[in-house]
Amino acid sequence: MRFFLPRKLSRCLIALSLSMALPHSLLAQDDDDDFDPDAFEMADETPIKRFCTNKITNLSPTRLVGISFDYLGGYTMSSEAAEGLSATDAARYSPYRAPVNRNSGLRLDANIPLVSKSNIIANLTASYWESRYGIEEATVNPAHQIALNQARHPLRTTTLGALIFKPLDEKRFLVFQAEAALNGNYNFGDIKPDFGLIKYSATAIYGWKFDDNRNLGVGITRTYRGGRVLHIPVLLWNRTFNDRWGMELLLPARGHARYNFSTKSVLMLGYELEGQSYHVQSVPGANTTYGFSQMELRKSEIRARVSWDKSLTDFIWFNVQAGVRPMYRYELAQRENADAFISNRMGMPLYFRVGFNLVSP
Amino acid sequence: MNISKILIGVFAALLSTLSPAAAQSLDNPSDIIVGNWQPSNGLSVIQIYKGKEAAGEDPKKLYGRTIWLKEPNDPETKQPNLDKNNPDESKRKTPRKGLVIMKDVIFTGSKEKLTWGEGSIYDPNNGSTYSFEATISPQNLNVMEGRGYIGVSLFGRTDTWKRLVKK
Repeated sequence: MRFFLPRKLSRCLIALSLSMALPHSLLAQDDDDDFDPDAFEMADETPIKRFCTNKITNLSPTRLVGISFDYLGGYTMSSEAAEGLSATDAARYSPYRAPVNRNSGLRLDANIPLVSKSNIIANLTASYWESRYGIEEATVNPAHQIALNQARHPLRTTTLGALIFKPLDEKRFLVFQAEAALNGNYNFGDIKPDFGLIKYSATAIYGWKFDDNRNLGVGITRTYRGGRVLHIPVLLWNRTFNDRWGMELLLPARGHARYNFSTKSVLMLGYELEGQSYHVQSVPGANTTYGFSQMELRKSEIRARVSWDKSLTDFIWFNVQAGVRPMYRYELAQRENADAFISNRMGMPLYFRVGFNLVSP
Repeated sequence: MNISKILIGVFAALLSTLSPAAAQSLDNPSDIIVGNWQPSNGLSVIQIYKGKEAAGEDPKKLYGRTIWLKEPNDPETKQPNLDKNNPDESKRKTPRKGLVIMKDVIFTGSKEKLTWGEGSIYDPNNGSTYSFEATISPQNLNVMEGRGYIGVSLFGRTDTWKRLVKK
């Protein structure tokens, strides 16, 4: 018996053998300018679910770590009895005025991704802000308790929280944010922070990413941005109109029109509502004209501004802001949920901020 | 039975049973990443290949080139999408299709732990270049976890890429 292979068949089989001996991937490494997706298939059959991202085209970069310095120019602090007090109570709180030469303070912010995958992003957030009042004590009436207190003890805010972006599919997403804030004039020396007065805020948003230029979300928030706790609806709306213009809204917290000089240089025009409820304490022996050594300060201010972000390197960006700071609320109450007994007008000074951020473009 | 028929039958059987994963060899683990891959968003296909000296690349390192885009043309101009966000102005008229976005990646693992790193990946959407590392499970050579990050791996984002093979 004679085994015989036709020559053509032999060559064919040799070629086939060689082709099978090579991994598919190596076959694919030739340049392929006319890649035809229909001629290929996923090597792994497991269905892969696709998700939308949290970004749209030209969106301002996400700040991962930031350090900035905030400075407000001079204004006059005018304190008087709050509206709604009885005539007897109102008479206890004489009006006083104190010149504030400046407010200034350091701000540290962190937004650290613990999990960052296409199907979930979970970030740990933390911040430390301080606000120092440039008040000359010699110019303050000794009975002006809040002005004297602030001349000596800066306001501080320390927060710790979480921010989760959970895409449901290619169009829909959820955002959850929760934060615990320790606010007050504590200094870890003669004024200890009261951890029993930590303020909790949270936000939940359900959103849609329509395309790479538009997303929209609605939700609800528990917030202290108004100076006291509020439970209100929120609207997230980001839109890129063209290569240059867009808008970024998270109402009522902030809203900006955006102008992109490039993807590395972004100008924003708009506002941010900043506010907290602070635990203000007096040291033993200090003036307590108001009759309380511990009070709640409800502070809510608007930062109307122009803000410019410019990349120094791919991921280190410089930020400068300038604008005005109208005060929406600056009032004192004996404790949380009590009516205010002192309200303050805080002028509308110019403000500036400069900072550096590690960003994720 | 004719030997030709036997051989053809054997090869046919081999063809029907040989899965793409089986086609990858753990004998040379650094090359397992070579091939065509699709990121989870399905918007592109990246071909990972060994560096070509003729192109000025290091043959000991791995590179990734965009060989397919779901939207190759700008919807407004109908012209090919360009690398218009590139920080190097001279490169802003380069078409995004064909861009080498992954560079200088080397195998950093072992047969038991298939990892690559020490290279970079470029995102033409924002013109930024990230550090890049990738992991493939020895149990499934057709799925890759690619991670772009800033400085330290903590500041990054992981995406699942799937291998594409010819039908």
